[in-house]
Amino acid sequence: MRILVVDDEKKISDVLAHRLVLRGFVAIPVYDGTSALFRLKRETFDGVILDLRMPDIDGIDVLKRIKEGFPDIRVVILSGHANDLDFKTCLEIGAIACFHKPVNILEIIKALEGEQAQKNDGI
Amino acid sequence: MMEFKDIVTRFKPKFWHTETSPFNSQILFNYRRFWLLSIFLRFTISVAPMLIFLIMNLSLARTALQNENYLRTVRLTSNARRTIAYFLEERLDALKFIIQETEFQRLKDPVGLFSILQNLKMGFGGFVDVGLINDSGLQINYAGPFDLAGRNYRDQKWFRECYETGTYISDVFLGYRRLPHLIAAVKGSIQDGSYYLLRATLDITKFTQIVSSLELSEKSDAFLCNREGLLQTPSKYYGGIFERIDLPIPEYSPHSEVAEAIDRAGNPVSIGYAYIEKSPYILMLVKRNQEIMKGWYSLRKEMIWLFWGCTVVTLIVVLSISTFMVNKIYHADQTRLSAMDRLEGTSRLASIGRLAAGVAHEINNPLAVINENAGLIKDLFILKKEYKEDPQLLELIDTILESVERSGEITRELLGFARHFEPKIQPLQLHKVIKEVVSFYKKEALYRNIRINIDVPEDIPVIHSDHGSLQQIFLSLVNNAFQAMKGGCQLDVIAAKQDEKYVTVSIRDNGCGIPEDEQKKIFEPFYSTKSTKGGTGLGLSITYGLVQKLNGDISVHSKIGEGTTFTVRLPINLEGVTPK
Repeated sequence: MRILVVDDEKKISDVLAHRLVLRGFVAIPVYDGTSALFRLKRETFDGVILDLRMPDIDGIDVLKRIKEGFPDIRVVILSGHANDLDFKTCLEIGAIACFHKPVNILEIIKALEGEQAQKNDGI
Repeated sequence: MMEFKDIVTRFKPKFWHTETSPFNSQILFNYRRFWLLSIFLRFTISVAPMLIFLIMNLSLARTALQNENYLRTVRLTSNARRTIAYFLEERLDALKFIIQETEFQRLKDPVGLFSILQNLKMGFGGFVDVGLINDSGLQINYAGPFDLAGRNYRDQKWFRECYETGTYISDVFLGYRRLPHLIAAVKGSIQDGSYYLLRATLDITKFTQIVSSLELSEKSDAFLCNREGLLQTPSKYYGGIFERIDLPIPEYSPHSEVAEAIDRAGNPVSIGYAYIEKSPYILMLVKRNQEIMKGWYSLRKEMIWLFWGCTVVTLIVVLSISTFMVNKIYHADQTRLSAMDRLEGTSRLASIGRLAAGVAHEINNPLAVINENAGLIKDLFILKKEYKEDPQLLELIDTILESVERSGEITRELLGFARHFEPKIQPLQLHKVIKEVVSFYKKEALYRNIRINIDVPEDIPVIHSDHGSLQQIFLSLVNNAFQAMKGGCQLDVIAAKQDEKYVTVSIRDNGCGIPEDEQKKIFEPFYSTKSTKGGTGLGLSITYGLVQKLNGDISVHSKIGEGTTFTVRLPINLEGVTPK
């Protein structure tokens, strides 16, 4: 399973990708929305872990573009700043689950693997 | 004594002990001074005119009464004088008539004189005897009950006076008969040029009758005295006949007059007097001033009572109005100060909210870094056999992860707190909202040994409402319940579906309860039983406002000692109705 980890905080995206790799996933960390979209166009991914607040493109915009271009990719939102309204918007656009940072990695994996659909711990 | 204290407490204004108020530093003016000033001014303005009217009225009444009495006395005196003067005049005229009409020879004849006396007695009355005296003072004829013929009057004062003036009326004297009487005499002339006097003795009974027939009050007196002050008729209070009166003799006046004097007993008196012409008599009417002013005194007494009555009523009214007014001002000031206080509190709360949200946001990322790194370490440990066997290391990592999770929860709650400032309608599960609120009090309940029982039946529909407002409403009510309860009490939160449109949530405690008269007021702004502890009295009024905004209503049911139940009724669907 190929997963793209998008977070402007390098320490988070790198480590998270590493942990996913340890669990048998193919995980690639990127640090902004532009490079994320760039990678998505060139390679095939099954899932995306997406931060909402990023310096270049807003996470929600990134999500919209992913859903427009690649409706089959499972997107999990992971944010430290978002409120319920943002999460609701994301779910409406097509995110599979939204999590507040910090979150247990097992929860993310469950959501990505589709074992527990529509997981939302915010509302 | 207790009752008096109660009354004082009732009238004592609320602001009396303002010094102890927590808002003391912000008090704009001295209520007590304002109150006293207000009472003083109102009272003075009300009572002063009353007092002026009272004094004016009494003085007018006094003057009127005095004038009236003066006139009456003068009139009475004048009438009596006229009667007495007329009486004497008539007797003298009768004697004059006899002299003119009767032959001297007939006067000299005892039989003739006797018949004249009879005629006089019959025609006029008051005559006792008649005598004829020649110019040398010898009584040459006499008709009457005594044998006085041949008596010589030449050296007597009256004889000489009558001889000179032509008529004479004597003082009253006892004379030979030991009865008070007076003499009237006229001078006549014979053809040969010699003179004679016709003298008659008059009974004073008529006099006394005239004087005593004056209608006088009990303490008044009327009598005749001569110009030396010897009483000519008996008096009631100023001595018997022939005694000297103990009143000053008023000065001569041709008219009836009124003079003021003080009698021997020290009573001020008014004397109506008149000098009776051609006689030595003075008619005196003595009235005690106290008697005259009796009407005025009773009027004064009545008016003073009335004045005191009005004053007391005015005082009560003024006191009530002033107290009411200053209480209102005081209350308004307190309300204003509380409002200022509340505004301060609200803005402080909002800043805290913003700060909390900011901190939570900023901490979340580092927390996530710790979380991921610790997670990676754990992953690596599990992968490498040499560490996997070391339970201590794994335990350490787990402790880090647990702490991160707990911190995450805290930041999430802080964000939730800040979120309450953004109202929005969304589908809500009541039991979730209630559990959330109650969870804030779990620790306190544990410490204070309070059981919390939540009863939300399965069939409660999802309601559309504002999450934050609902949280605030339930928080406020649960908070109130906790303040009313002691250890070992129970708090019930019960939800029920009322009908197709409404659900109810009851928050019931078995704490101290609310007195019935306070139940009506508890939703009023600034009504607080915790004012001394710094409560703003706003909690329940805000709750009430929030429930109204959610198109619901709130009611309270309470019994002292048994506990209080607040019931909130909420519409199931608020969709389309935005909170104000």
